[in-house]
Amino acid sequence: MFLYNLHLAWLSIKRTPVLSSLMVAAIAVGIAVCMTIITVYRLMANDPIPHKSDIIFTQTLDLRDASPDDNGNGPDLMSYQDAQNLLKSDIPSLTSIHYQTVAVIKSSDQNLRPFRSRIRLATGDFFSLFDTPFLFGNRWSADDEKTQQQVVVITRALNIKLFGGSNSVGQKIQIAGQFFNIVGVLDDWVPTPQFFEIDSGAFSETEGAFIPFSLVPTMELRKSGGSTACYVSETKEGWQGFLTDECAWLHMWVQLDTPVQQKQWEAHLDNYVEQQREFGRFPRELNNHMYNVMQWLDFKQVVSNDYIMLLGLAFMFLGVCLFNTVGLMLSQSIRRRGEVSVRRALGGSKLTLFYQHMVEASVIGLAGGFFGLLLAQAGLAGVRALYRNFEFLTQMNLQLVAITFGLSILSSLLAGLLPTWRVCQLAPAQYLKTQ
Amino acid sequence: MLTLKKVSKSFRTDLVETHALRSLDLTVNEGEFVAVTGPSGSGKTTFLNIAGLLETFTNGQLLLDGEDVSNLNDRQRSIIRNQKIGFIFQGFNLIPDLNLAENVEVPLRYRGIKKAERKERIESALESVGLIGRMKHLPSQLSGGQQQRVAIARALAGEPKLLLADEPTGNLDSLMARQVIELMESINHTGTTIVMVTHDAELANRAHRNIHIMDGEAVDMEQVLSITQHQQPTQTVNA
Repeated sequence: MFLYNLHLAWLSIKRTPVLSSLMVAAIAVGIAVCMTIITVYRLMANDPIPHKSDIIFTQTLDLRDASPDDNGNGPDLMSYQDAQNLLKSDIPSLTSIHYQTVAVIKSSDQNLRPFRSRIRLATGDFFSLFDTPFLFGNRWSADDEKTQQQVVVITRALNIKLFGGSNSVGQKIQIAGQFFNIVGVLDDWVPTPQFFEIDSGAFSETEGAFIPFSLVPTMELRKSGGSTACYVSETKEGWQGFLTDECAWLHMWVQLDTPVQQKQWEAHLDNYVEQQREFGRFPRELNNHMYNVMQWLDFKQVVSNDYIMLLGLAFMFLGVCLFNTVGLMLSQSIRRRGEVSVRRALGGSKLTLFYQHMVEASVIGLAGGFFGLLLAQAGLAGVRALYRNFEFLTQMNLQLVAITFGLSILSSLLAGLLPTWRVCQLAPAQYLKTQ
Repeated sequence: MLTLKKVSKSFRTDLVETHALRSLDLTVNEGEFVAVTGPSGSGKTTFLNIAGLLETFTNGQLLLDGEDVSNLNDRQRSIIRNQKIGFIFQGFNLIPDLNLAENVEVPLRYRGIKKAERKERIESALESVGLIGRMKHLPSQLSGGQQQRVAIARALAGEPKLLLADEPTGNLDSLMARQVIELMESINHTGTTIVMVTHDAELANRAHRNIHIMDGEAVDMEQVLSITQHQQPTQTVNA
């Protein structure tokens, strides 16, 4: 019966091509606007690391001075000395301290001119903690880190640029004038949002290379992008001075696999601040916070209220389109009262005819979804053209394509409900005589 | 085959109540060919719609093929319409987008008959009305008489026990009308009960029995004729 109803739907669409096209267009436009916004919203509100987002945490310690401040929250970032002190703890299963800088990269290929690239200085746990996929090689070892070896992990994009995509492990490149030995090449890895460093752009590309955090004192690579907040009246001179100043600039994430570990880490942070007070630091009341990934994205308002409002408006627009579709379907149902009456006389029950018309509504919805999908691609291309940073947010995956078709079929079924119900309630005898 | 016991049907609006049928008592036996006549607005079509389970009624009882069908739900009524009743309408009521075979197929689809049997029945029904060669044609490509024959084929394909015809020749010229009535007679000879509403006295005379409906009630035709004959001289005098 389904195939028969599909055949009838096709005949009906062919019989009223203009009306059917208008219905498809109304649904397509509504779906396109909705899906453009949903695509951006969904990737913004995406859980970037779903399998462990509830066991990896970042924390804030309020090292601000005692001057009154309306903001109840301390800095989001960690000072170098606090990061170094907390790194010594064995409570977390993994600890990553990292920041982003920009440096000139040069390869041995004389034809390739040196270029600036974003570099991340990170502790070795960074790769295990965030489950980065490796194409070639692996992370650097704990020994490499301890002995401040000049080793580097590069991204697939950088590997293609420098080595044409071949296995470059063991090759050397220059970063900021120093030679680095390549130990690993990452596969494509774009966590969206880039939760581990939101302040330099939650939706930006992964940097080109990663080098050990232990090189911070010697390399003197200043942070690039994001904020650095110092809470001292006078900053000390030089790079070494900066590292010992009360300046918050580093990101710190830990993996705490069990609730017991989480409690222990919380207590450890509190104890640490209390202990540091004895050295005249942390003049404020205890104001430590721990956030897992989704709590962090929420706290940082990665999805701003504007987008939530925009999403609401998109659904309202879809609603308006559906009202138009309802009107068109009603007018179509008036034209087919005679046929419905004949079918009723020949033994079609209300339910059978309801099913037939809902299949037709679904076909209209499917067509609307298809054209809506094309229009949504155009909409997303428009968003890409307007906002360069949104490139990763404007890619529709298979799930979103499925949502598009699901939403369009659901919309058309909703729109078809009233006209179908009305036409099925007709007294058939009335139209058999007058047809 | 069909029994109506004191069946009434009234339509009520805010201002008036109209009685379409008033305590109609009527029986049609199996295998009969009955003509239902009466002036316009007398309730003929309402009777036919009630007999065909297309309309409900206010009071009374309706028996079809020995089964009380007075209080069935929509689904049960649809099943009986599909399995026991065939309809022929004045306006043919073919579905314009479907070709002849597909039109004939409609009731068979609703009955859930398998493809092979459907094909067999469609061909047999169209053959019996002489249109087997045009099964892929659309209704708009046929004359009125041919369209009515397709409608008859559609009714026949379901092998109904009761065939209800509402002015089946009303839209046809005399030649086409004769062909259609002959076809109906041949269907009746196979044992199908036929109830036909008509204005055409000549057509009515070809039925086994005439039922005259006036003001929603069945009246005795002999009594009507005697009254008419009795009034005839007076009218002539007046004229």
